[in-house]
Amino acid sequence: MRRPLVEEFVELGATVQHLDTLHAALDRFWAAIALVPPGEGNGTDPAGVGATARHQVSIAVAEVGANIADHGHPTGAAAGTMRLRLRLYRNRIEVIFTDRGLAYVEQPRDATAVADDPLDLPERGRGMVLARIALDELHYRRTASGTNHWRLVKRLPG
Amino acid sequence: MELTVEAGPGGVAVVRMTGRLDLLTASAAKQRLAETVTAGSPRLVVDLAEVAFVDSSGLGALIGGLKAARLGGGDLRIARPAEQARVILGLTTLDRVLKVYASVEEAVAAYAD
Repeated sequence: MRRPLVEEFVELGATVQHLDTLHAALDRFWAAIALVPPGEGNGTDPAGVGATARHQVSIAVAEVGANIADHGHPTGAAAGTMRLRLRLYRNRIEVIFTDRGLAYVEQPRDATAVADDPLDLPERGRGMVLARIALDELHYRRTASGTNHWRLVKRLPG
Repeated sequence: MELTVEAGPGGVAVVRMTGRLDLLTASAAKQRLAETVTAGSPRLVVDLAEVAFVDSSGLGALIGGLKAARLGGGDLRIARPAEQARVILGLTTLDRVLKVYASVEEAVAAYAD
């Protein structure tokens, strides 16, 4: 596999209070991508990453990170950490999360449906559905040793 | 996140938020929106110009505010969403129920229609 054009790595506490660290890592990642010479990327934007793709990846990363903190490490559980690796390749952005919290349990309902009556709209349960919509691929697996492994992929045009 | 509520023309409450509207701040924001309705201002305009990031919990707070406003006989309208907020409203199709305006003045004036 080719080396990534840009890579950012951070380990942060798996709590809601540490999500600032996640956003700071995203900011550094986008700032580094903006410095990639146009010839290194694959489009007119720096490295071929448009604003919409950037926002979609940020939204998905924030949702998966919030899910790991909120559901994977509930209050009362031993304080844990999550590792986040952000990579830009020529044709995609790839994000890897790993943590050793509780296993992810997919919620069956589709909370993105817009009800006819706004009073029927759900206020919660949209996060992981939203992450899937924002991405091209979202993979989850739990290893035999109890590590949660998330892989998020956003393909880039070109 | 900071949140201020100003009395606008025609009894419309203009809610200005600054920072991130996310899992960490959504609960407080939802509560302030509900309190504003309870205090007698069910017609809300939420100015998102200074909100750099909205996540699904932040959307939940806006929906909670919308429900409170509707039950109080009013509405919740969005003014000046930044690019990221427009993207997340579009992805969730919530821009169908949360009306978006280019300026606070337009959003306030639309209540008179």
